[in-house]
Amino acid sequence: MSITIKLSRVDNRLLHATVALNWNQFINANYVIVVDPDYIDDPFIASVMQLSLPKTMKVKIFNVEQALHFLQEDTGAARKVMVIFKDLKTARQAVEKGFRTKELQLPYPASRIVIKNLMDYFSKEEIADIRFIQSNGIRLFFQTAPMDNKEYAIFTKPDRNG
Amino acid sequence: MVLESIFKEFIQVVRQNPKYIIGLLNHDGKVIACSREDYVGKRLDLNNHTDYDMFYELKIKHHDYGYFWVNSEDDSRRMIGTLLIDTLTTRIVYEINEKKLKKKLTIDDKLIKCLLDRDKFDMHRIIALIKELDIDENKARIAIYITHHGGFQVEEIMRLKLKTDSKELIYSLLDKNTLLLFKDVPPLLNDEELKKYIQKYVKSLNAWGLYDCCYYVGTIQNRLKQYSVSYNNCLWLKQNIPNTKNKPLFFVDYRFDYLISQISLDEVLNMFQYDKERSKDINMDEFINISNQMIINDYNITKTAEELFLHKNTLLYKLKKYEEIFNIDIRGSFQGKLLMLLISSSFKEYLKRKQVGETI
Repeated sequence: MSITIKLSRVDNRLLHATVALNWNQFINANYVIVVDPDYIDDPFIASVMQLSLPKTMKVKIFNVEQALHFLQEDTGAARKVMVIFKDLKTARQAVEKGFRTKELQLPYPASRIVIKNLMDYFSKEEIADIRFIQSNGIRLFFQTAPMDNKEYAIFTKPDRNG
Repeated sequence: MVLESIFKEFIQVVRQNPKYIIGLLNHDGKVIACSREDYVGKRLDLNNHTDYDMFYELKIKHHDYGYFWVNSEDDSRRMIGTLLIDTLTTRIVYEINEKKLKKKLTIDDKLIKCLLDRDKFDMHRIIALIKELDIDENKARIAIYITHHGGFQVEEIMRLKLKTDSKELIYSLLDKNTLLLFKDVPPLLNDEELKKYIQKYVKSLNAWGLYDCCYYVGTIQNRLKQYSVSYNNCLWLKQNIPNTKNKPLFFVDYRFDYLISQISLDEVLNMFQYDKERSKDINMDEFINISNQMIINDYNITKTAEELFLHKNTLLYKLKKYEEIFNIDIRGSFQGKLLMLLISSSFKEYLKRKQVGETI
C-alpha cells in the first residue's frame, strides 16, 4: 500500500481549470481530494466536480476528518493524491488533527501584485493560520502553474507588526 | 467527437438531479443534446428567455462549439450553472490535451523504432520525426531502460511528457513492462557528474510515480545513429548484472566486464584446455576467487592475501603454481595478469554451463 501526497494546495476556487488541467496532469496524481466541509453533503456538486476529469482520476470531497481517514486508509492500492484545501483555516484544522506534508502551495494573487508583506494580502486570522502551519514544519509558497517559480520568501519574513 | 461523449457523461450526472436541465445548442439555438430527450430538436430563443434559463457561449481554443444551456428554478442555479460551464470547459480542454499528448507519443514511438533499427537506419525519416516533435537533434542523450514487473499504465506514461524536465525527452513503451527513455543530459559532464545527474533524475521519476522499477543506464551519445548503442548497453546490463529496484545501474561501471564478455571464452578455454587437464588438481572455484580478489586489490599480493584470509606465502605458492600450469607470468607482466583474468572468465563460463547440464 502506498499513499503519496503529490501536492497540497489552498485554493478557494477548489478544482478549477488551472488545478485540473495543469497540476493534476503535471504531478501525475490519480486522486484529487477537495477538503471543503461546505460541500460534503451535496453529492450533486461532488458528481459535477468529478466530471472535470475522466473517471480514471477520482475526485473526492471530504471534511477534515474524512480527508485524514482517507490518507491513512490501507487499501493496498497506490494512491497518488493531490489535496486541495478550501482555505487556510481548513488547512490549519487539518494540521491540528495530524495532517502532515512537506509543503503547502497557494496560488499567486491573480493580479500579480507584488506582495512585500503577508499583511498586504492576508487577514490577521489567515496570518495566524499560516504561522501555525509553519510551526508544524510545513513550508508555504506561492505558485500558480507548474512552470512558475516557487516563491517562499514572503512567508519566511517576520511579521511587520510583530 | 470529443464534446458528444463528454456531454453524455454530464447528462448522466444532471439526470440524478431533477431540478436541473442541461443542453447543448447550436448557433441558431437548436437543442442538439439535452438531459431531457423531449427538448432535443426544439429551438430556444437566446435573447428572450426566463430568468430560469442560463446560456453560456462554448468557445474553447478558438473553436466555437455553440451554447451550453442550464435551466432550473433552484436558488443555487447561478452557482451551479457557473460550476457546470467551468467543469465542461475544463473537461473539453483536458480531453483535447490528452489527444495531443497521444499524438506526440505516437511520434515518439515511431522515432524510437527508427532509432533502434540499425539495419535500415533512415536518417531523413528520423530528422522529419524530430522536427515534428520540435526537439533538438544535437543534444547529448542517454538511454534509460526501465522495467516494472507489474507493468506500466499507458495513460500514466503518456503524462510523462508533461513532467517539467521532459521537453527534450524521447520515450516509448516497448512493451507493457518496458519503458525506454532517451534522456537529454547537460554537455561536458564527467562520469561522476553524469551519474549524479541521472541518480537525481531517477529519484524524480520515483517521486513522480515510477517506483518499484529497475533502471538500466547506457552510455551518453550525441549522434542519432549511436542511440542504439546506448540502448544495447542497457540490454547487456539487464542480461548480465543483477539489479536492485529504484536505483540506476550504470553501464559505465561495467565497461571492463562488458569488453571481457565480448571475447570468445570458448577460444580461451580451448587454448588452455591441455594445461588444465594436465594439472588435474586445479580447483577452478579457487582460481576464480583468487583472480577476482587480485583485480579488486589491483594485483597487490599482500592485500589480496588479507582479503582471502591466506598467508602471503600461501598465496604466492598458489600463484606460482598457476604460472607453471598455464605458462604465464601473473606477477611480472601485464599480459600475464590479463591472461589470468581471461582464464578465470572462461572457467566461470565453463562452470555455469556445467551447472545447467550443457555438454562441454
